[in-house]
Amino acid sequence: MDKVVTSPSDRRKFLQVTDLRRLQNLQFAAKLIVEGFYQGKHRSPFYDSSAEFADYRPYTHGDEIRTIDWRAYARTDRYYIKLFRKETDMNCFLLVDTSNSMAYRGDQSGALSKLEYASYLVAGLAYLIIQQGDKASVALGSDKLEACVPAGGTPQNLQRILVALERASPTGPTGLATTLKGLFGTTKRKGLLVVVSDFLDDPTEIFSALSMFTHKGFAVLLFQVLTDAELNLPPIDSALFEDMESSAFVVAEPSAVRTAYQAELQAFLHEMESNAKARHIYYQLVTTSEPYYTALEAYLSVRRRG
Amino acid sequence: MMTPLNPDLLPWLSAAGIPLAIHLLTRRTRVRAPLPTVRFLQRAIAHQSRLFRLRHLVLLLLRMFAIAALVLAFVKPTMNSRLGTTGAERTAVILVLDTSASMSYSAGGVSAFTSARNEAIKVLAGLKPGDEANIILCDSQPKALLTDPASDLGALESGLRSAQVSEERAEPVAAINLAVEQLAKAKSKTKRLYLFSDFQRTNWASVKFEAVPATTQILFVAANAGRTQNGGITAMHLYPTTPHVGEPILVECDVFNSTDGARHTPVTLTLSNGGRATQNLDMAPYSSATATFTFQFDTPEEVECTASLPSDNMPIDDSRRIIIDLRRMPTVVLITDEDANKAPNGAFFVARALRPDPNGQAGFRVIPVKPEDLNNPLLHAADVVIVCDAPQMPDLQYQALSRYATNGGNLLWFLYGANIGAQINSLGRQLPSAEPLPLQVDHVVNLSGNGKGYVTLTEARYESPLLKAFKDPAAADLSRIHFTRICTTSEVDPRAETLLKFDDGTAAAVRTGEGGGNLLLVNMSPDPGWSDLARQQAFLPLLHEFLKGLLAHELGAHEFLAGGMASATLQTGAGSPLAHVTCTGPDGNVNVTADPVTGSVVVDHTKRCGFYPIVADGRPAGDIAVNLSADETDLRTIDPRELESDRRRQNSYVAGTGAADVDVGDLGKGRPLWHYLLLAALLSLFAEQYVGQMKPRVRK
Repeated sequence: MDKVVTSPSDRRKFLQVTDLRRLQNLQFAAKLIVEGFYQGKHRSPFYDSSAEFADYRPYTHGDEIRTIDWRAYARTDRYYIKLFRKETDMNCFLLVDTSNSMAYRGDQSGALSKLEYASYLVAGLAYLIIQQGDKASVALGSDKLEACVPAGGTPQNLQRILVALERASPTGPTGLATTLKGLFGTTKRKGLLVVVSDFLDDPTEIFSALSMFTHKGFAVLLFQVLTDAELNLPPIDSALFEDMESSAFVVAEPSAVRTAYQAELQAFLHEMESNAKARHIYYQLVTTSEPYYTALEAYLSVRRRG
Repeated sequence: MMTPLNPDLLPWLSAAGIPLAIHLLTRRTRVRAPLPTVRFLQRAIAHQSRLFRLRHLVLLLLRMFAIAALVLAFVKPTMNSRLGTTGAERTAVILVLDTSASMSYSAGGVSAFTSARNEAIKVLAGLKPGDEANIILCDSQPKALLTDPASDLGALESGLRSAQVSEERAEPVAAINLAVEQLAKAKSKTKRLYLFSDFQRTNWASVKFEAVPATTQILFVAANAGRTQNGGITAMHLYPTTPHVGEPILVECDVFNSTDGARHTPVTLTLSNGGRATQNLDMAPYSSATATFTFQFDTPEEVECTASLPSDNMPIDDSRRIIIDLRRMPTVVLITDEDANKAPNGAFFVARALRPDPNGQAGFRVIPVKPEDLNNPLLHAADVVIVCDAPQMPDLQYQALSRYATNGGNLLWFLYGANIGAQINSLGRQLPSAEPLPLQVDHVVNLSGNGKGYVTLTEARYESPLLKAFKDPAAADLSRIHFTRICTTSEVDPRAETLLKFDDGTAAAVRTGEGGGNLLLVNMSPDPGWSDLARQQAFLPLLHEFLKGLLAHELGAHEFLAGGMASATLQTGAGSPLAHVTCTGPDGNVNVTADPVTGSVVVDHTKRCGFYPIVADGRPAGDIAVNLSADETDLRTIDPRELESDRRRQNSYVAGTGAADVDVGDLGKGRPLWHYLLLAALLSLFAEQYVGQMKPRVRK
């Protein structure tokens, strides 16, 4: 444990004390070896002088004299250079979908909207990332990249992330592929991409955009946030259902169409999951009715087993 | 169409709108709910079956229908009858019940008449108070039970129950005309004519319904539908028609097999003098055969002759009667304006030639009458009517003579006299158009002073029964007669039989059939101013052979049928006019009219078949045989639908008694529908439950 942000003044809406206590027990670790300019807990493919000894190699011309292990010279009368594995930190890009559909909070007025839920989730992730010494970046966008908090591993950066999340409001239609392409342009090296969205868009386009990240070596995590009302339709007799991002509407009796609706939705979710699996992308469906850390726990448990 | 019996409840039908109102109100207050996943909802709905998507509408309709059906069940609607009526409107009904002899046909113990009468009683029973009705019994003289249609259904039913089948033929045209008259008297708007009959083809095939107003519903109720097995004697012929003692007499009995199979039957002829003979006949289906019996009598008597068959399902036509009167002289009615008792004139010579010995039993009995004195009893009594120098008569007389000839009489007309052309033309106008006069008389030509001054007979058709006696020239030489005045005529109709021709080619005697009788036009005159015919030896045999020949052609002119009038000519001696004449029929005494001068006795109406003995001054004076119309024997029926189609209109219906597919009692009844509606309401509620719980069937 390096740093824990517990200052009362640092507490924001999406990062409560109770959440922080729970997050302290979590270990967020990326499985990939990532590049980084800053030391961290992630192994680097580059050997360098650092705390972790890796190997010896014979001295050759051009090596710095200060790198010679004089103790080994004393024992062997040969010049050896001591090698250390360089530890780098990881850049984690957290993308939050802020399209209008993310404003949906289901049939209960006091419940979290999907955007709020996503914000909680991302805030938690950002805290974990920064707490373990990595850098977290948060991007917001609906059909384009709206805002982006640059990657940083300091508590101040976490503060900026939380402020950005608080200011986020649902606007515009879902165009996640465009947003991902915009975000891709800002990344300079591979890292971890976490997308939190309802993904109510064309899966082909979404995964086409995600392919750019996977090809660059990103580890991609998808959290699909849906409400129970979306999964099962609201428990009302008859209603005129209006689409939140278009003028489409339909009059339906949920009890009459529920089965068919669930079949359609499950087909979509299955398509999402199978596409993710095919690209070695972690995919998890979360609902706003379950605490967001549950999703994190589930993810981390999967990562530990892997 | 339907008619409600509880129309006061009809406003409750508006309750059927309650589900609709609820439906509309529900639509108005429908929740507007945002949903990001509308596209999946749209797809889900699109993949549902049309029925499932429309189930709300179906439910709405089912609920509305259930309420409407429930209300209607209490409204008690009745489906209009096949007659298009509800049974609630006032109706005038005329029941024409066929009481002809064919209705007595009985198969299985129930006669067609009984079946028809029972159906008619049913119809009467189905009428409501206020309905008008009358019953017409259809025999040879149809008559209505009441003067006008009335609501006294009890009296009508009583009359109907007491109605009996007659031994007469049916006259459906007269019955229908009478029914139309009765319906015209009725005040009800809905008018209905029921015809209860066996619809014998012989009686009904020619019936037209033009007289029935198009708005009047006609119901044909067929009785005796099905296979009939009947045989009957349809005619008896006597040859010669006026037989004499000692000469062979031929009695022919025509038997008709009204069965669809071959028939073997014995025919028995029974005579009142004890004679009896039997002959077996084999008959093909629906065909006739003739049994022939020969007799010879030694004494001048009147013999009742009865032919009979073994009894079958219709006994009335199993026997037939004829009178063989050996005492009788044929009666000739001589219509003339001349004095037949004072010479010299044509009528005198004719009368004397017909009965040379006024006190003898040979020859003909001549009744000279003035044209204005001609009446129907005389014509009934006449075996032959001779017109000899008559003036121009009123059309009524020509009409009577025409009817006499077409009804089977024999009319001999001497073409002479001042107005002969006009007379013949007048007669021709009264004859049926299908059987016109065989020739037209142009004018009278006087041959005196022209050439030899006369014409003679040069051509004769000796093959004719009227001239066969002259085939031997030794019998009489017709060519010796000189005719100084004759009528020029038009060409003779080739369908007529030209018996004699003058040497100038003019027709001298032409015979033609007119209906059932004969018309013989003789272009010669016994008047001394016209010819020397009266002085010639051939005159008497020529006149006698003419009359014998005509009588031999007689086709039952004197056959009397039940339901009509009957007559006989009694042999009155000189100076013994008839007094106190009575006639006893099978049902007792009947009304008779006797002409003391001519001896003609007429029975106005003969209801029953049988012998009608006539008693004059306490002594048997004659006999009349009354038989059944031959039309009644042939039981082949005409399908009322043919009659219906002839009418070319819609409001006629066919029902039947028993075997037929439609019961006449049901035709006029409105059918209650409340139980169907109740059932429909329950079923629609069940259906509503089913549709309401219907699960969507998702199409992959």
